[in-house]
Amino acid sequence: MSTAPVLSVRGLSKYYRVKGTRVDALAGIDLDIRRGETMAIVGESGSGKTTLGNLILGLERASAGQVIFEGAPLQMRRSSALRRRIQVVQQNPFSTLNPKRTVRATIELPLRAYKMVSRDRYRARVGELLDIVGMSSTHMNRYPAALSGGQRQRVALARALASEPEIIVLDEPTSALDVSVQARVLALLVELQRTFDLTYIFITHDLSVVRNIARRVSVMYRGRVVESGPTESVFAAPRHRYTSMLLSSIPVVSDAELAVKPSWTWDPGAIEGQGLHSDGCPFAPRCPHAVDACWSDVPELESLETAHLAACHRPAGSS
Amino acid sequence: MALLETTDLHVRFELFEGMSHVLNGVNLKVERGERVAVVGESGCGKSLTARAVLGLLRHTNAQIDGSVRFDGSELLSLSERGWRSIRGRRIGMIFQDPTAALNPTFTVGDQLFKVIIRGGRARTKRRAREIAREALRHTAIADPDRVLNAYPFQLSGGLAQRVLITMALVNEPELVLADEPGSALDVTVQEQTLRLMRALGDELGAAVLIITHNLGVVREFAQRVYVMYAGSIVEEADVDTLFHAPRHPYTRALLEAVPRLTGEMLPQPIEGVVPDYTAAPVGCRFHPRCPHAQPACQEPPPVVDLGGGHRVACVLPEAAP
Repeated sequence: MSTAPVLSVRGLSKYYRVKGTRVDALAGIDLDIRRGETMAIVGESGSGKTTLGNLILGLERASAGQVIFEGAPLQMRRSSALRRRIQVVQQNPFSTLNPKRTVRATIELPLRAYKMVSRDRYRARVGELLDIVGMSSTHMNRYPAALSGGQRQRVALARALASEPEIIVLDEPTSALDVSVQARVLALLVELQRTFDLTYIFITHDLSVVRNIARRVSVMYRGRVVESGPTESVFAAPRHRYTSMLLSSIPVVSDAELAVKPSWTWDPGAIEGQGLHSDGCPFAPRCPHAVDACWSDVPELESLETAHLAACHRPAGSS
Repeated sequence: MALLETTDLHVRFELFEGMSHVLNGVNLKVERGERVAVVGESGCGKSLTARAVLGLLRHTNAQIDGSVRFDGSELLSLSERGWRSIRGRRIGMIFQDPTAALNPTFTVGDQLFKVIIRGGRARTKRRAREIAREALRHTAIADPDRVLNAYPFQLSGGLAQRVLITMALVNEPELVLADEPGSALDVTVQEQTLRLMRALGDELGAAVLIITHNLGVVREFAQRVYVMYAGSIVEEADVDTLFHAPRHPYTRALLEAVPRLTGEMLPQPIEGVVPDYTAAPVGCRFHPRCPHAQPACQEPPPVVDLGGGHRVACVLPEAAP
């Protein structure tokens, strides 16, 4: 594994105008993703994690900043050769597959579009791809309606793999699935990554999944990265208060997990931030540790130890 | 006498493909003031059980057998009129997606006042507003009037969820039926929802029957739990026992499929799928997916009582972990 990042994001921002006021969906994100690793992007709804994925994929135009792929900036409009190399698997397998296309037609499309194999090889290649994701060729002529959620997500994966990408953006790939099926899809993702040296950008709200699949994690809140670091370190010793709150709210099933969850004093009133606005840290309205500086100055993402960063004026562990 | 008790509850649907026998003899009990969970994968009949209990299958082609008793009286033979004095009054409901459960064309207030007036707590809208205000304050909503005057789309998911909790509890029901409460919301809001339901339930002495697919939610919220698979209860126990000494192979498999926050093991998939109910497996419905299956599993499994309210429907309740 090389140390130079395969994909970098620098100062990436996305603003929307809503009734004349500017809404920052993404407010200056910096990220480095190395080849062959799984980088998890975690956050609640509205944190900007899907917007980040869309900008990396070129589905939306950035307001500022850059996505840099192998040293060169990526534009929103990009050549088919570039598009081929970064693919996506989205959340809801019930809406991301065209219901009027058979499994074969769905997986054939990228083969045609990117001219991956010659025409007479399409069918055989679709069969191979289905085999790779653990389905059989007998599914080829089925429509999505005849498939279970887990099978649909496998088809979506086969479609992404058809163009032999280097990076796959996985946007909540298992959150519509039952745990028993989720476990199978996660195992498949791990196996595929090893086989094809894939780089995953794993977008999710589920921290338990992150712990099991990602080497590094970035926690987002209201369009900013508030904490970033090796998964083990972030889970063992979260620094940003938002990360602690997120970890403490996960319902867990074992005593061992209960023991590692940070404690959090719940204030029912603070959960929504009471509609308060902060010019500084976006989490200040919900944070029981907020001081004046948190309301006025945006904390920068600082290095606490090697590679483990937090953007907080009063990080945990500092008293 | 239990507050709610279903006995040998069967629900069948006549489909083009044949008879779909979904609920296959469900026995469950909720005592007064108790928090009970029903847990299982999607398609295992959890929500159908809730709908049968609430009498919401009456105008469908469902064929219902067995008994559902609430405070001693049979619900299955209740008239629509009889239901009106129970639903929303003695049994409150909380559904999964709070924004979908509210009518988008009326203000929150209009909907809440109607519940209060129908429940007999107030005769006038003015009095209903007072009660609503007080109840919303109880769920830590600082400015109840803003919420009452808002349309559902103007509320965040967390606020809408609290409105629904208020709606379910405002008439001080004896039982609250919550179907995946908060699972459409962020995890921090879900946590908040569960805490609130627990606190308010305790305060009113209301029993809560929660339907969920999330074992973590079960552990943090419930006192007792029923594990459901393919329309049958396969194991029941108090929460402590279930998580420390699960006996049914399905319960164990489900627990092993949950990704752990400690990351000590990769979650283990359960092979196979929930069966098609028009051709459900004979005997134990889990046996085609069960690693311990044996010939005896072709027969309906015995319900083995392990003491302390721990029951398991399996021929091999002692199967090695």
